[in-house]
Amino acid sequence: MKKVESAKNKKDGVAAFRTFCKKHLAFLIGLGALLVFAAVWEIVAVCMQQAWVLPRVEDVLVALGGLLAKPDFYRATGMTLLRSLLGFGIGFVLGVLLGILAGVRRGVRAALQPIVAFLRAAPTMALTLIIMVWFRQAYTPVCIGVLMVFPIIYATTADSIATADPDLLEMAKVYRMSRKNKLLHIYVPHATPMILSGATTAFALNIKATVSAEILALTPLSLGTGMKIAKDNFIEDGAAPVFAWLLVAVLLSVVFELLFKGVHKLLKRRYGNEV
Amino acid sequence: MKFEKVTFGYGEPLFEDLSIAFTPGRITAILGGSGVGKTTLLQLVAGLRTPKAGEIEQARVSYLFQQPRLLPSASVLDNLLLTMSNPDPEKAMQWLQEVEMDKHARLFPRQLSGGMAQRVAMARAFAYEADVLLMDEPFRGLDVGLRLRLYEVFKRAWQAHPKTTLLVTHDPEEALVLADEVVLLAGQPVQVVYRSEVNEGTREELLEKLKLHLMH
Repeated sequence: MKKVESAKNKKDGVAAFRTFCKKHLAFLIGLGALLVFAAVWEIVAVCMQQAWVLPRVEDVLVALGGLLAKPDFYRATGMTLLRSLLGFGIGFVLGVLLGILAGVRRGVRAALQPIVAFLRAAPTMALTLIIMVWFRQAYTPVCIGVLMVFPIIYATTADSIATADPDLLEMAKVYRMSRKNKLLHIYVPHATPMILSGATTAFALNIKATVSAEILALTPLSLGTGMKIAKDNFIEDGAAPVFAWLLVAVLLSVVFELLFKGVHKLLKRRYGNEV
Repeated sequence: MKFEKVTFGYGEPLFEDLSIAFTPGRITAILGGSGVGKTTLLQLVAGLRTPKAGEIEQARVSYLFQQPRLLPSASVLDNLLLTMSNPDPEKAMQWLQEVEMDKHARLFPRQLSGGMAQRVAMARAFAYEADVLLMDEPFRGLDVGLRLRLYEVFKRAWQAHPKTTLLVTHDPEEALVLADEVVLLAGQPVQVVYRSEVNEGTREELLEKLKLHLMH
């Protein structure tokens, strides 16, 4: 009897494991790929034996541990995050507001087109150099963040507003719906998924640009400057601290990507497939 | 509700000096072949298109489209409230009750079947304070059983609040079931080629006449 029960428990366990794997397949594949990548990195690093070119995974993790133990690390990361959020916030609000205007008024879109085209084409480093002349070191990364985020959010908002369902707009015209209700119930549900997707891309770019600007502007108390100092100490410490800072920047970006996806999921639960 | 010497077209003139008057407080069915301009006629009445010449009497209209066109992010009840000139939840619920959708007031459009969504659209059209109700083949594409039920729902709602109604349809039988009068449009530019009252006694005869007209 006991044998039969144990066989049944084993079967249930296998079934539960299979269900878990099926449910989290994408995550498990991603995790597997990451482990393979880390293994290849480790093998190449061991073979090369040149810590200032490619440090071992283990050394990077030790360097990361060292960073986590320093109070300055949290202040620098916090300030970088704050600058990123500020740049993102200003760029997002500007992009949405001007995007809505451009979506409903062709003249506004035509007038903003050259500015947006310039911002999209201008190299980030060149913009940073110019802005460094105009603003204080602390503000340069924020300005760069705004300039990175604005064109993306502006274009997705303007496109999504311009492609709102013409049938619903016709219905709204017949029933003389107020501008506010048209915005809240036709434009916003249509535009939200596109804007959120644009915001996810924009935030990742924003972190990259903010850190780059911090490196170039040597912004005090920043992730970028931490990275620059680590790079300057290459000879003594090897490249592991630089990689550790890079890992922190990547983790910040990943956390925010997950946050945006969570918001999207919540909205989808509220509004269904329309969002 | 009348058209006086109305000219309109998309390049080629669709209507040229078209004059037509619709009887107030009655349902007029507008029949005609595909592309004859039935929907355009309703759009002109609704002010969605502007005539090149002539005059159309202005009226406050509500519109029952072929597709329900409900706001996807709003509940059934909110779909009515958001389009009402004086939003009144009690009145909106009464109209939902009229179309047997009061129990689904909190649902969202994605949770409704095609027939249910069209009932909500019908309630919205009646709840909106309008002088003229425009209907652009709202029962097209629905299966026969559902269509017959919706005819009954519509008739009951209309009798509770009768108003001048223009019903565009390609189906002469539907026209005879719902309308008090039928108008047949044909030609290029479009003209009224046939117009008749719908009487119980002449229904069969009228159906034959309409079918003959539509075939030619």
